Amino acid sequence: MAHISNGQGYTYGLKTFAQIQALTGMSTGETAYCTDRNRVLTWDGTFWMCDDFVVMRNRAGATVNQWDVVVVQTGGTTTEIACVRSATPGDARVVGVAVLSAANGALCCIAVKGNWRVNVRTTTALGSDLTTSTVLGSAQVNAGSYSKGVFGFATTANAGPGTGTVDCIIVARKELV
Amino acid sequence: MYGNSTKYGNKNTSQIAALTGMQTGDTVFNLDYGMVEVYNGAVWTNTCSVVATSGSGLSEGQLVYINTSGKVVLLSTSTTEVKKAIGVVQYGALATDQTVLIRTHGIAKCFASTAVTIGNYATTAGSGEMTQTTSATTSTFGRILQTVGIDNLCYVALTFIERG
Repeated sequence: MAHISNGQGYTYGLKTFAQIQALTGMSTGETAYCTDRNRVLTWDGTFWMCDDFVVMRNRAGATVNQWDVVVVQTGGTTTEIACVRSATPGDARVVGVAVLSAANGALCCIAVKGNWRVNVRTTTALGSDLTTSTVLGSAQVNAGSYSKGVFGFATTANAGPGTGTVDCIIVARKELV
Repeated sequence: MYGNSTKYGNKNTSQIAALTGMQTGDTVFNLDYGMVEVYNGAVWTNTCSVVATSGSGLSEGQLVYINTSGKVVLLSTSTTEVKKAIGVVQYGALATDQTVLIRTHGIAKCFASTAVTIGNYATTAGSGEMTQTTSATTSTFGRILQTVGIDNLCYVALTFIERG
């Protein structure tokens, strides 16, 4: 049996996340190692998937952009798990970050843990607690005292004051009751 | 199967940490955690962990948080730090600014600074170490999965609790 080594053993070898998303002609079950996110991704026929991802229906009423933070939709149907974007700072319904853009009504692939990225609305310092903000899909530094809804921590900075994207560690948390 | 299909076969965490000469994409099966790990060019990675930059020397089993430089350092009992705790060091570093692997969920081997008993709550003891409590507190980060004596690594099921 051949060893899985140095990209050999993965259908598409070693590639960045962007390069993997640009691939065409895949068959279900094919694999690539994502060098910038440290994950083996497997094509499931619709998305390149890994253990960090969940798939939900976008019911935001608009396109969810790549690296937007999304929250669970409330008041939806009983047969569909869906996500929306929140304009409530510190929204505790955070699911994670959309790793690809998704049109309204389409399936949205969301990272719920791991080394990923997120859109931020303004200046973001290294190590900042990240929460939802008043801007749909954009995160912000948690204001004031720590609150529920922190979904991760920035590992790169956005100089601001405008919008940007930062690397982050997304940490799934369990709410204290 | 994995032991045959991975380049370095079946090894425990200490043995994997001691490997040399790896190339990006090389694989090994970690016997301590029962999962395949992939070398990313700087550190061995797996799906229960994140890659981070060390803000100090770090060893396997130490609890860490993210500081204001975006680096991981040892967790004290400070409320501020506990709120920024992310996990437990799997592959550490001797110094600052090195790539390390931090387990953020699933199970992790944590350094117990006191004797601990299976089923109790794993709680930060300061200096990156773990102790136990019999009820959950805001410093609880998991459930203890084995009984060990003082100054041993101990399996913990990580369940970091959000501090509201």
